[in-house]
Amino acid sequence: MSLLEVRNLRVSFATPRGSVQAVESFGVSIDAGETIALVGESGSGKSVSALALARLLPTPPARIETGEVLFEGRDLLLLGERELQRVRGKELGFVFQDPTSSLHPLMTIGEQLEEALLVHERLPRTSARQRAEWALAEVGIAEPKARLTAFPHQLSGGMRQRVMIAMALLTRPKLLIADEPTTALDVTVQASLFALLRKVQREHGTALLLITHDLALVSTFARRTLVMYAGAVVESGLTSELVARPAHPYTRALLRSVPSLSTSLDHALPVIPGTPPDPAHPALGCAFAPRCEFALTACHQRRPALVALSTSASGAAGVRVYNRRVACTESERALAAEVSS
Amino acid sequence: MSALLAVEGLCVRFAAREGRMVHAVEGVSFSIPSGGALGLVGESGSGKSTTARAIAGLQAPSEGRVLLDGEPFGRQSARSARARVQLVFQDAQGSLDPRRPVGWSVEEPLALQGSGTAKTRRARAFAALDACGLDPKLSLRYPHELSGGQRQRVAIARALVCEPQLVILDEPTSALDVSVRAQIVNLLCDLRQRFGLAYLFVSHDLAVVRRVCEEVAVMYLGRIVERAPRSELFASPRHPYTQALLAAVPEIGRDLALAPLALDPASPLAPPSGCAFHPRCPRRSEVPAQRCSLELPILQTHGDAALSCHLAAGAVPRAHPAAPGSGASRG
Amino acid sequence: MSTSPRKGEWFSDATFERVAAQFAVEQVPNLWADVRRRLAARASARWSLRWLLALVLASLIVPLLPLPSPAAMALDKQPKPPVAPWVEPFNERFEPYYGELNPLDRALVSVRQRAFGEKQTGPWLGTDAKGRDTLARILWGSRTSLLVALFAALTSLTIGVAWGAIAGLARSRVDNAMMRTVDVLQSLPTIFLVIFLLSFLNAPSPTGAARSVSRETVFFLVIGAVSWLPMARVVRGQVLALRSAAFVESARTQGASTGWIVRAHLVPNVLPIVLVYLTLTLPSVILYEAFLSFLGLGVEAPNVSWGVLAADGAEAISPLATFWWLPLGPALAMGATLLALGLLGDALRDALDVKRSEA
Repeated sequence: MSLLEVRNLRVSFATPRGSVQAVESFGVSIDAGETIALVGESGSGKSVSALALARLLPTPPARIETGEVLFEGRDLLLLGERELQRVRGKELGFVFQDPTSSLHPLMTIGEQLEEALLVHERLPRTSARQRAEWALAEVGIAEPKARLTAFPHQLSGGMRQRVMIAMALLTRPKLLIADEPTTALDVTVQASLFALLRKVQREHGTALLLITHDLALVSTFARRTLVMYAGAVVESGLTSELVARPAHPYTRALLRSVPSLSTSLDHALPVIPGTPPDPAHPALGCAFAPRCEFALTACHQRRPALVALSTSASGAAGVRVYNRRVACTESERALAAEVSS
Repeated sequence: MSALLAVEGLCVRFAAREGRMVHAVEGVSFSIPSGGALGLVGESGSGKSTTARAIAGLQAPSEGRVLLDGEPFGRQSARSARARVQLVFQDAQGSLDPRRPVGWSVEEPLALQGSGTAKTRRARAFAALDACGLDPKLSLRYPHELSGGQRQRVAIARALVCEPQLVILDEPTSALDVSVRAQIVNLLCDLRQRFGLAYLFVSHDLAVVRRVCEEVAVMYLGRIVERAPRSELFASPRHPYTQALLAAVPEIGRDLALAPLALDPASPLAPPSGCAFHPRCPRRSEVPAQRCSLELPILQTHGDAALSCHLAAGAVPRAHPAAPGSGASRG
Repeated sequence: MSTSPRKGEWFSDATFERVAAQFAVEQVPNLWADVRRRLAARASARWSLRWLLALVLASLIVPLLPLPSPAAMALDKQPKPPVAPWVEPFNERFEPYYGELNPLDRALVSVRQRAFGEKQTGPWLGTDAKGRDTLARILWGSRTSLLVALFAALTSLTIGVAWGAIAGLARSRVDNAMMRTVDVLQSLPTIFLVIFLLSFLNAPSPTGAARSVSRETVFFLVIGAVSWLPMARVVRGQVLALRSAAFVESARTQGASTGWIVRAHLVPNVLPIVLVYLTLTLPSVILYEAFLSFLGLGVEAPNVSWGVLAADGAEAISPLATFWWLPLGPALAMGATLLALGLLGDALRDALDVKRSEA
């Protein structure tokens, strides 16, 4: 049984101009200790999906229309507020993009770390302090004892994010959800935070759902990757296969259009024309069709479903079948041809 | 060779709390030839944005000077001189007046110059928007009605409308979505080619800088630590900091988590002694006698490139500077 | 590398002709036209504006209307309850007793006498204990409230906006001095100040000549001293934020003068907030006047204001008889006016927010 199984999650937001579909269909299953990346641009619904599965979205304006979120077999969407609090506090950990707004500005780091332990673990104060100190040491903060009495503004951005990770890991959660944890940080700090995440994951067997806009960032870090576009998962699979042989035209174009240190400078950067769609005006057909170089008439008329690619297309047989899935009319067609032949 | 822009010994210092001074920029010198593009890279707190703002005249330099075509350039310069240098900000939303249609914002620099009639100003604004790949119809829209990429195009059109010689770009692609970033990068390359612009391109994104600029200067805590032509810097970075920066750029198939630096950057409020990078430097043990923590390395020029590192000073004998003109291609 | 175009010809008129040919230049959007349209689209804003305009008009021409005089008494010794307009629309008992009037009002009253003669409306809203007509007193009393509001609006718009803008634009030392002044004025306990000023200024002089300064003057002095303070703060905050906004800095790099920055960027960005804030200031000032008058520190007889009327009404309530119409009329008039200002402010805020407008 997987640790987390999300099926058919649909989220909409009530706006003054009517309801907007933020997430159209989202599904993922995460095994214990696994790292999964959720990749997409702003507005793709990646953060909303992650917040929705932990029921962290304010409702209203958000509304979870359909879906199941099975965490160790229990549906989080059906839990009562108290039980949900317990799961969120103990089993799930969160790290957000902006550590400044996630930390209380008037409480010391130590007080904030201890609070979680006092509430969720009912530890006595002295051992809570001890645990907080260990937690800081664990995320690579020098002189953890001295840092416990520091206020958030006295720390650098990278340091604050380390504190957030320490806080998220305090109760030894089974799943850590990190939403763009390093986007606001410098690349060198980003690299050391990724090293840190990998270390704590290895030591505690924590599963990690990593939300990012940068495919390159997770290309070696996450075992599996889901690519989202306009509120739906358009492709998923083992990261190594997905970056080596992207099946969806969006993934393909995205990989090519990212400036890298190794591409030739002789040609202009290949671009994806146009802009991401406005969720207030959803397209009838495939959301990517207006920007897709391969788009057919059918693409504009019908929304392709997320279907499994055949094993021949998804890589070597014998590997545990994490189906390569892709939502593209073109692939459906190829698949149909393959089945019929 | 006379440079279009020459920055000589630029220092910017701020008064911080408790009477301390922040040395945001210390002794930065470089020059950009007409039509050239220099990338200024570094992490937050490196002083790269402050350098750009000081050159644009938004920040008074504490020391040093900025020369445009040999003439001092700054807050006191005449409007006609100022029009030759334009600034594009990271945050395109903030750089356009929310209560003005974007067409008005594009026309504003012309109006400030007092050039032409209202009709010719509008004509040039339309044409500038067109050159930046925007439908001039959008000039009637308000900034919030445009997408992030469109707003950045408007900001670039506004910078171009006065036909500048130098455009200072402060993180112009950082706030953009991945798929839009490539469009803006290509646009910047095209515009430079088309109008013979010179760029001072400030960014933390080395891959983008590599696309746009022929020359790159790396800043760390207020100082330039390495400057080299693109071909050299990306192929064989010499400063350990440049090496660490390049190693940390996310690339497909590269394991980022393998070689992190031991520490986070130091605060500009309390810069380390000696070489500011020494506490994080993985190679300081190669330099004998704690020199890195005691002595500030000076920026030494070797042909096209310059480097400020004790490691190189030991490795490269001063009597024999590196061969000049190694693979620098300008234009 | 291709040869770059010559200076001054990057964007030639030829390009314009080509570009302009692609579309007809539409009407440049006008912020204020948009605001009017959006305000008009909102029913609450329409009704609020109508009520406020009607009230202003009525208070201006109240001497012309065929109403009883607000000061003419009848010795009934007992308040008379309202008589519905259809029962007694008019009577012929008009008494031209108004107390002191300014020349313009006197002229208006004489016009009224010529036009309507002895005719006056019946006691539609009842009379008070001295037989004075409640409706006439409410309408005459609205003049005080509106005058106070007008005065506060003027001080807010002139002193408040200028003070805030100058502080926001000035260097930190000037800014500091100006804002500390605001702090000091704001910290004055205004009620005590009014009481103090009244007792101090109206103390009988040794020569026996009392009443050197009228209560109204004191009242307006105090309103004038305090009503612009919040506005100065709000404007300063806005100007400070705008001053470092990227679009202002961008204009500065082009050599824009402070005058240009103010005209082109600050005014359009600050004005909407000023207007919205004004609709918050006015109700508080109207309430303040009513409160002081209720305490007997505001206007004095024979002048009336809504606060005086409310005080009279409250006095008239006794265990033996509840003359409900006495407090009800002024309370409704004031409540409706405050509500209208609030709704209007709300609608203005939405209408001025360009981001809320439909694309």
